[in-house]
Amino acid sequence: MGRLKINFSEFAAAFVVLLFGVFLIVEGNNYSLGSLRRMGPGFFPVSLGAIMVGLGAILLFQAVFAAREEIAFDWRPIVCVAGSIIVFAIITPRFGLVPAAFLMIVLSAFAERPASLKTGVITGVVMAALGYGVFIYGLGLPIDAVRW
Amino acid sequence: MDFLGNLSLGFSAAFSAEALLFCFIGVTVGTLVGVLPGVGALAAISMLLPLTYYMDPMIGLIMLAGIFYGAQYGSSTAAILLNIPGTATAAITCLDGNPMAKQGRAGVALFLTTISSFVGGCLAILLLMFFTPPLAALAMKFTSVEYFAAMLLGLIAASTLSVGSPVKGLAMVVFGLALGVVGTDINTGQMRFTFGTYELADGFALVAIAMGLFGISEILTTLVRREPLAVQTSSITFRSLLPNRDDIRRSALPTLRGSGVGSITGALPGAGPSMATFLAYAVEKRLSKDPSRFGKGAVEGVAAPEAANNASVQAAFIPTLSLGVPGDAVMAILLGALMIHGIIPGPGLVNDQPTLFWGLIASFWIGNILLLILNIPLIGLWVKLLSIPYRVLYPAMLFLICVGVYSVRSNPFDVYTALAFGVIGYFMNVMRFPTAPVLLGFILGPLLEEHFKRSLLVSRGDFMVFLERPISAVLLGVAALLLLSSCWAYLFRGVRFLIGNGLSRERGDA
Repeated sequence: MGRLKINFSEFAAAFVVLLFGVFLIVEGNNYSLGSLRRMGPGFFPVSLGAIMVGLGAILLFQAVFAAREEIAFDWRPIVCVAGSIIVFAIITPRFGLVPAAFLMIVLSAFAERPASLKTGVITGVVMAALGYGVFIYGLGLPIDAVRW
Repeated sequence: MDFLGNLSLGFSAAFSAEALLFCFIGVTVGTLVGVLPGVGALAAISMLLPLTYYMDPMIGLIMLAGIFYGAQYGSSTAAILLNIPGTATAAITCLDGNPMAKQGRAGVALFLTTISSFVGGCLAILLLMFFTPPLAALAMKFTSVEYFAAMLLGLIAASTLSVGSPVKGLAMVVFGLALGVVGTDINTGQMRFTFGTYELADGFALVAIAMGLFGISEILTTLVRREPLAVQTSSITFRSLLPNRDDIRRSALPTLRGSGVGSITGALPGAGPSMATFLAYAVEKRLSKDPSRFGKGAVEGVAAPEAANNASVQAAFIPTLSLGVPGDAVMAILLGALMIHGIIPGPGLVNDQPTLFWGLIASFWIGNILLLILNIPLIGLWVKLLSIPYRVLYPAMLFLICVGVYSVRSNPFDVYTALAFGVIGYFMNVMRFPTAPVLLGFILGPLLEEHFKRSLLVSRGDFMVFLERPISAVLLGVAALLLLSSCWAYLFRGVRFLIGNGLSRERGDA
């Protein structure tokens, strides 16, 4: 033993920070930098980018010393939660809040293992009714309840 | 006289039916999310933020603040009964609260945490009342130079004092500042980082970022981590709540000391309730004649941190309301809520908006008394709430988040933005990048940039202006010290790691 292990995910995260800094510098250079006395719109983002590159470099260095560890990761909750949010964003403007609420909640129920369709449907019905009562009837939000 | 006049002004505003109603809603929601593990105060405040867009700014602020301190009361319940902190700030309460519950003294622990939270809150509100106006008066002389220095200090403190890597914290503050750049530049009218999307012309929506980073990411993190909660809701009778004489004697002084520690920590930028509870616990353990009792159900170990977390939450309003410099993400959201109503937070707030300032303070008194009522006779109700399964809770939360984000301007774009920040926030949680500094940077970013530009415009590009003005020099000096000390600690750890590694290698060879 005794060899330094490189923690891949720490490295990846540090690299993302570094890349984001580079992106700020590159994109910021499209706007005028101006002078110190009269700064243009590009000055602040470019400075932030420079700081971010520096911090990313420190993080890369630290990643060398980071202990290797297993990270619990599961695609299913992420896909289901993201899917349910996208369903809400697509359905609500076209078909209204009530169908959107029902569909998103049923879909989001699959984020958990073991998924229970029954619980999902019941929660969906209850939340769709509550959502109509609270947001449209109660608070009077300008969202259609049902729309064809 | 003027003081009493202001206070009565505040109370008359806070005793209006609407203010009382929303104060009640705020503290009830706060207790609720405090009790439920997996739902934090930040998430709840983000979720209710869009509602305040339709309210009078004072009423909205009263409600959001109520969630924040209400959650401190509620968070000890799960910590004591289930050994799971209801919110991150109650982690310390688990240490002695759960052993008390195992000894059959859960009721006493719950009762004492409520009382000490109340005492802590009261002391900090007193400090808030007496220190905010003079501090604001002092800050009236602030120019852009001092503002820049104060905000920079706030940002550096928030990122380096938080738990975990200071470098990650700093990187996330800069990320937040960069997010604040997106949109139309106020000086030139030029679109920055919008890439032709007209939805980004006004920048990212605060609600979308807050709900993504704190709401959606929290749900994702909990779902992936997924430890089945073994919930046994023991019935708490009113009789079992009452502490005996020995408990009262042992917890009286710790409660006061915890209140003091919490008030000071809370008033400092960056050091939030988590640090306050940690310090208060450490102080009690150090002062105790018999430190070995800690961790085995010592009442001091419950009373002091609980007093400290509520005190720090109330004291956090001191810098926020006097200087307009928020110390943590919750305060930043509250300031964001004010700015949406066109109120510029800063030293002028106390004088220009006396009803808002004193009304808010009066609502703290009312809210803390409401919480006392909510938490002692009704504790059984909150304990029962712990049995709500998460599989019912998270779909409902997701729905609330979506409706809240969508309602701001009926634009699905904001919902997608929230989702994107939810996924980013999830990966940040996994990699232990703190999410709160991002929001702080996002809200302070435009102000920081503006003050920076204005300072250098006045000084004709001379950076020495930040060191020539005494207040700014001191603030920047403290910021530099914070940076250096956290770097030093990190460097030291790195060196120790290398040495340690070298040693283990030698041992391995031998």
